[in-house]
Amino acid sequence: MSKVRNIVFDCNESILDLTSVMPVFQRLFGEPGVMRLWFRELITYSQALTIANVYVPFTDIGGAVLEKIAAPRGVKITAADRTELTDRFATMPPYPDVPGALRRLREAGFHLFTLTDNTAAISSRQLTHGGIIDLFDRRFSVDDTAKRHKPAPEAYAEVTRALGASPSDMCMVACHTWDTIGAQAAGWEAGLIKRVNNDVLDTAAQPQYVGKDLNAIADQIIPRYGPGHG
Amino acid sequence: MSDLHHVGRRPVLAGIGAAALAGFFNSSAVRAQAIDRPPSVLIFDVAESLLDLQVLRPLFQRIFGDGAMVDEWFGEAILYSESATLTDTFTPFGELGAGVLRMLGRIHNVSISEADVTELSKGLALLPPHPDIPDSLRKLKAAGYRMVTLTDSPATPGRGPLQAAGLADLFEQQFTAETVRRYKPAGETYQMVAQATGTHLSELCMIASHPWDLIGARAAGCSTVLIERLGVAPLIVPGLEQPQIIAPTLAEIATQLVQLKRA
Repeated sequence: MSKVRNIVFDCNESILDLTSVMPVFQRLFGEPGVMRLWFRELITYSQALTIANVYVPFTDIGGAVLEKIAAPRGVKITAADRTELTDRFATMPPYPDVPGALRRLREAGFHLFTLTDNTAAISSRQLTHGGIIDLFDRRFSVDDTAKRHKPAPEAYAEVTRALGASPSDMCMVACHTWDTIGAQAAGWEAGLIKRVNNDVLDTAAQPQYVGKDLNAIADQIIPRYGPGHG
Repeated sequence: MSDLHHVGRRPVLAGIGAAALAGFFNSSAVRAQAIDRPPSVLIFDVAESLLDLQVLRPLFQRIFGDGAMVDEWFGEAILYSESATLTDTFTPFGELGAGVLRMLGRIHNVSISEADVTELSKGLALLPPHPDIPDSLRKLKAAGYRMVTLTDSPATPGRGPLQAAGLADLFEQQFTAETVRRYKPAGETYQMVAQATGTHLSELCMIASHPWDLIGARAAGCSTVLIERLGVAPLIVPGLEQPQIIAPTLAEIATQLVQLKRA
């Protein structure tokens, strides 16, 4: 019987609090909510470019989308603005539930990994700043592997292969349904954390685990696959 | 004169970007090549590009208490259509759109009824054209262009919004991504049009107000035109070729394309 041993985490918004970049949007546009539009367009364009077989690093897409949103609003984006956005993005703090839940999963015997659209450099800054980098066995960036952004199946398959695992050993945990769709299409299990502004899509494959925070996900995975079970 | 100013402004800006990036990338891959001969077939995107989605604001105001949610709904529907394409898990656009509406309902703690879904789909079938559209399309047709539509939503020959607006007869065919079960900007969608119209991809010109659509069309080999409506702007990233024409209305774009036909 298959048994999930490897849990792979998305980072931006899933374990790191995306709302911490809002002050940049407040300052530039006078409304913090433009951050949501920016992030949605960032994903829309990272997918569109991937479908068109054009690889552009995530940070560069993020900067271009910021300018795309700013131009029709008559807002001028300077190099300093882009730097500030990148810096804030690279130092987003973990949600309060994350460090403890990650430790619980490790103590239950799971190997923990990250898989991010960010470059490895940005990802390292994020997890180091958040004080959680040591909780992961290994970190993966599509920038080093598939050069295709999630949810392209290659992004997940490269992780499965690098670990010498089979897809049924793997579980993706993210707050974005598009990410769980990708993981499940690659044969993994998936858990969706319902962070603010995220929920399930009933027309797509449903994640095996759904919870309001990472503890709620851990509460479901540990009894199923933890020590003495499965 | 102001029209000429607008038409000329954006390509110049794009050119500056291209020059600045030339040190890192092959500049010919970045710089927008002017269209030097008339395309054989003009392909039009429909929702938002030709038709005004904002008329659905009252529906979203009623459901969510915020008319601007129409943009979030459409944006998420496009995002999830792309995810379906990347993961080969095609779901028809009508179903996907309804699923996204219910997802937004869950997020905002609003219950979505079957009647809401029906009202949305009826509203989509009756979207009116933007004011500049009917005359511009007729001008392009009169100049001798072959014209088709290519949409993520189902084709609706004989009914639907283009029929309701009296514009359907201007198009020789209406194509839908549902035929190839991959959504725009997948190359297969544009290739389907080339095959069915008996043309080479380089003879096709994709016209839309969504840069993501044009990214796919350009990668497939088509020329591209961005209708830079209010709130729209191109995505300028290293290595990505910009649309050949960028202008705020189809009227200005039609003027350029008609001139090309006469040259």
